[in-house]
Amino acid sequence: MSIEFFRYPAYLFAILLIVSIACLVFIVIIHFFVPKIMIKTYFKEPYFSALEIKLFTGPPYAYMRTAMMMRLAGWPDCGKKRGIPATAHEVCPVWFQVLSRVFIRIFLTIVALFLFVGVVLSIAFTAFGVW
Amino acid sequence: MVTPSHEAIRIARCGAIPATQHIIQNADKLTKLASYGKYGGYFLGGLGVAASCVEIANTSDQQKKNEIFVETVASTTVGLVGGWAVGLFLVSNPVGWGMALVLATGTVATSYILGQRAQYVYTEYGNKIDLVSGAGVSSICQ
Repeated sequence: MSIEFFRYPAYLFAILLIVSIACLVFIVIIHFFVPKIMIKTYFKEPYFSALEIKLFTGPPYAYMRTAMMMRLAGWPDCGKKRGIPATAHEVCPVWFQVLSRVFIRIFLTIVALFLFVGVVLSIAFTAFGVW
Repeated sequence: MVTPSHEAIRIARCGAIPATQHIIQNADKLTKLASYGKYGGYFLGGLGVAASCVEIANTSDQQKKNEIFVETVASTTVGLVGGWAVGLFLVSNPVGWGMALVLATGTVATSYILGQRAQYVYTEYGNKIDLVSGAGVSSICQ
């Protein structure tokens, strides 16, 4: 087995990196379509701390709030520990709920695959003494 | 015996500390901390990209320029993607300072390591592609 054997995993790694960038572009776009009513109703105390509200409002971390709202829309039970009612998803439109469920699944699959291929390449490159 | 109404009169209201004083002070502290966190994000993100741009500008070797570019793009992407994944986790798991620090450090370390891996992948398999010139980076980072 030579280093050439890992050419295609390396290409996959590069493709996954490009897909991750595409995901980020999508996140930036969807950030502006998160229902305002959802943010107003649930992104406040006592569900979130004052620090979290301040930190995740406006750049550079506001996109993390989008992740929170999308997960809440797709999986209403997930806010149980924060005391967010399981009916939280009802305030946002169905398209947002469906989009959240689909996108988060795709996103997590890509991230998991990206990490896995990264680890495989790391081991292979170390074994072949590339670095 | 003093009745509650008399007691109310005896209390010097103007000299008392409002009951919400501690809450207000803590909220102010948290707001300041959040602001520091935001400035830190701007600073680190900006500094990383600017440092890479300077490095690209100061390197004459085109191969080296491409390696720096790939590493910067990959580590920035992984950092942002990691942040979003942390957001997904945070909604169901409110964390304390310790865990927040672990998550932040983990994201930074992962982005650094995967950035380096991307650079090696480029060096090993993709070095014929001139990304810096293709993306117009060489004209920006001069």
